[in-house]
Amino acid sequence: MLDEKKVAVARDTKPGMPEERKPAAPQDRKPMTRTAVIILWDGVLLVPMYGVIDTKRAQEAMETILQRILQTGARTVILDILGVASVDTGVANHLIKIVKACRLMGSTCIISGMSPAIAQTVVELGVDLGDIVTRVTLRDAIQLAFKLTGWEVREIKEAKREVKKVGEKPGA
Amino acid sequence: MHVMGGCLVVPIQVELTDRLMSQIQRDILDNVARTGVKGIIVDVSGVNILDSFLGQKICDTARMASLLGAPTVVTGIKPAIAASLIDLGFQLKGVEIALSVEEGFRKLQRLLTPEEVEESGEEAPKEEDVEETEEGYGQYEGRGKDNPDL
Repeated sequence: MLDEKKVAVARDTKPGMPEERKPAAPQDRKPMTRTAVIILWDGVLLVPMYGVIDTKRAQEAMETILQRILQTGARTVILDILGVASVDTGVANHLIKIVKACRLMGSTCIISGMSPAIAQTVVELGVDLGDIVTRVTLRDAIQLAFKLTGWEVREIKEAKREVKKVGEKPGA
Repeated sequence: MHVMGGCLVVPIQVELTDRLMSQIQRDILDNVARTGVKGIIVDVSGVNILDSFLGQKICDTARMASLLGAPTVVTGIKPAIAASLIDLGFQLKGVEIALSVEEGFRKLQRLLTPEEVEESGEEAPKEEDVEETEEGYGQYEGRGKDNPDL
């Protein structure tokens, strides 16, 4: 196998021209941020989005999410935007694209972290969310995601609870 | 394509051409009308390139099949294709989508009333139920007897 660096330099060098171009250092290839796709439960993914969502970030997020859906077979994805700096039409369209792409992978995407401000912006700017599901709290989004994937959360009600103190044997 | 659990399964394992897609559309509709299957699964997990024209053809086929009484689920869309389709502004509207053939069956079972589907329950039908009614779509290259009007 040829060393990649040597091949690149050999191709770029013309006779008489100084070798000014150097192969990109490994650090230059790392993305600025990484999208964390959390496996919340069987069939449910959680993706917290933070900071500025530009085209590059949105693209990276979408690729990562779609790959994870393929790997895990998840049927719902919760996209949490509580940490997103600001939502304008550009950001809204990036998010819409992610939701639509998830649908093409057989997954329903729920957006959580909606705020009155975002709701106002979306409607006033005429952004069409179509039938994209949105929620304010993560709790509500999780509840819906569980319902869609066939899970329910129940409170465990016990008459007695044995509290074991350190050093004591059970039943003592 | 073959029939499994009362549903028509159409696996596409070769690159789709316009001609091939038209052929598939015709075959699906003929099959549905002839056999009265209650659902269709079109699996595109073998397809690496899907443009908006082919996507539209798939949508149209799904709608046509619905008119014949058989809802369609498309399965196996690759991540790169999903991203490309969305970039092109194409959403496969009106078509049900699932990740895998197995998920496709579950979706069809949810869409159809229990009496219409032979197998009830969560599991996908077993392979023993398969009846090979036609050749797989890998053998469609070079079949020239039907001239598509393209």
